[in-house]
Amino acid sequence: MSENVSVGSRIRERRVTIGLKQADLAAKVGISASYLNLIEHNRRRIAGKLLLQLGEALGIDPQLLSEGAQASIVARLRESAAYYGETVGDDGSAADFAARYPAWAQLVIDLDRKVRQLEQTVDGLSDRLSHDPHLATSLHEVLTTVTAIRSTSSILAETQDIEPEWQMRFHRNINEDSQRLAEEAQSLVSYLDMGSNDGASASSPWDELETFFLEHEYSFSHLVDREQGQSLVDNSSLLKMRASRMLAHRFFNQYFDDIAQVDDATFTAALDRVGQDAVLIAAQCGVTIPTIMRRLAFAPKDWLETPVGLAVCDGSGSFFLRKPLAGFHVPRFGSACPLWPLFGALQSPMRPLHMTLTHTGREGGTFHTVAYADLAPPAHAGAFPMVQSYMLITPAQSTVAAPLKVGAACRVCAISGCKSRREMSILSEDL
Amino acid sequence: MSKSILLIEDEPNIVEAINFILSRDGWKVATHSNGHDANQVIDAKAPDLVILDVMLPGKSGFDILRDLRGSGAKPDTPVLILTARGQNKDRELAYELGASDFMSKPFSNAEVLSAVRRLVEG
Repeated sequence: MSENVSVGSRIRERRVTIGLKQADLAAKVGISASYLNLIEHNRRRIAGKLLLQLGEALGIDPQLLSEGAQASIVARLRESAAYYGETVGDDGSAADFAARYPAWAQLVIDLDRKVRQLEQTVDGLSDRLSHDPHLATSLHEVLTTVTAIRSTSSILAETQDIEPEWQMRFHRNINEDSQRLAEEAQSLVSYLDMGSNDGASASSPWDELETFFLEHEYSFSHLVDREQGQSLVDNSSLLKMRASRMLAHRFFNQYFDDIAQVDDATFTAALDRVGQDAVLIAAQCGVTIPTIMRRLAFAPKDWLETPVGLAVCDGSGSFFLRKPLAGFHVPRFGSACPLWPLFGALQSPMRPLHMTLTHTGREGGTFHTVAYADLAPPAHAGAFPMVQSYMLITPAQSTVAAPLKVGAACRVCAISGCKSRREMSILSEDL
Repeated sequence: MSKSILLIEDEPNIVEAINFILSRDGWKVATHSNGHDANQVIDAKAPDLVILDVMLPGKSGFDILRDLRGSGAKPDTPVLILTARGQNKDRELAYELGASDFMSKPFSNAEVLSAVRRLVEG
């Protein structure tokens, strides 16, 4: 049977297999049923566009229709050999192998596919080991603790005349370090076990901190002083990692510094006077705009007329604080939409940037935002100033002529023709 | 007179262990635990050797070393770098910046003692 004779038969076989009527298939590809009948009985040749359309309508690779399954297997065997650097000429050996041992040929193809998937996984894991900041920090902690234990235990084992008070001290140090090492190792194992599982699990100190904030509904107004904040952190079952607790302690230091600058009475009085205008409140209270943005973000719900969200990033664009707001998704792992004024503010530090945005995410909505990038003194002589950018987000109460359309991140954004797009979206093929 | 060593390391139990073994070996040891003002402390104390951790709060050991070699009061002070970052690129960077020796954590007390004696006494 010639190749073209086979094509018609394969089309018919596939159509029958998927339960499609001849008239329906013909209509899908824009030909008459009688013409399709001629094709299926191998009385008409087809190729090119019609073959592609039939393949699409039948849900099958057009190559399989035109060449048959065996030809496709041979092509894949040759491609696999080439991938592993093996030269396989057109001597018919691949076709012979596929014809004589079809199951073995299919096994070779399946194994090749599996190997390539595993190679991708290994590449991904290697990349993670090299670039995952949480992993790097955890490994550093483990090595540092091991070093302390090693040094201390060597002293105890090798020093003949060690004084009793030193002996006791070093035993205490080993005990502390052993506990720390156990916690770090457990945390590392848990983190590595996370893999591709649920996004709700905390996988980094920042995740644990956000879970902690969520648990307390981003409000700590019941805490009277810094010590209560520290105690809340130390006793929280949600902050398992030492790094998370350090972040939380740092948060509460900032939180109570902000309250010291603008106490609750002053803050609520300002809210009554001017509403949730962070720039105006900051000017009236004589404090920085970020101070008021933080006060707003962590204010009790009943103090505010409208809910607020907050995103804070550093000069590299990495988020280190996110307070979510319904409809305005802030991605968990960096790479947010470059159109956000949060990033625009980095280019004009110390100048508030007001914008109304329409978020095109799954929930979406229109929001007023105000962004402000604050400069901190350089870390040391010769270094450039450190910058932190804040973006306060509130649902828009009134409509404006043309709010800017933004997404959460390029990868999941369907806005087409965006000049700032960094990568293809899984929602469209626009780039 | 005992030769002096300045140990710049933020992990307190490591500081205690190294301080103990070096003091027992006859060295006079001063310690400092953050990077912010480490260069000023080095200039003020003028030690015979600096043992310098890399991951420090405020300023990294590499930046401290760079500033010491660039504009320190005694730029030729021997520096032993200690770090948990033991990859080749960290080692190369340390030597490029002027480290006298480089040791990855975890290290043994004997290795530290040997390096200290070699760097100070020759």
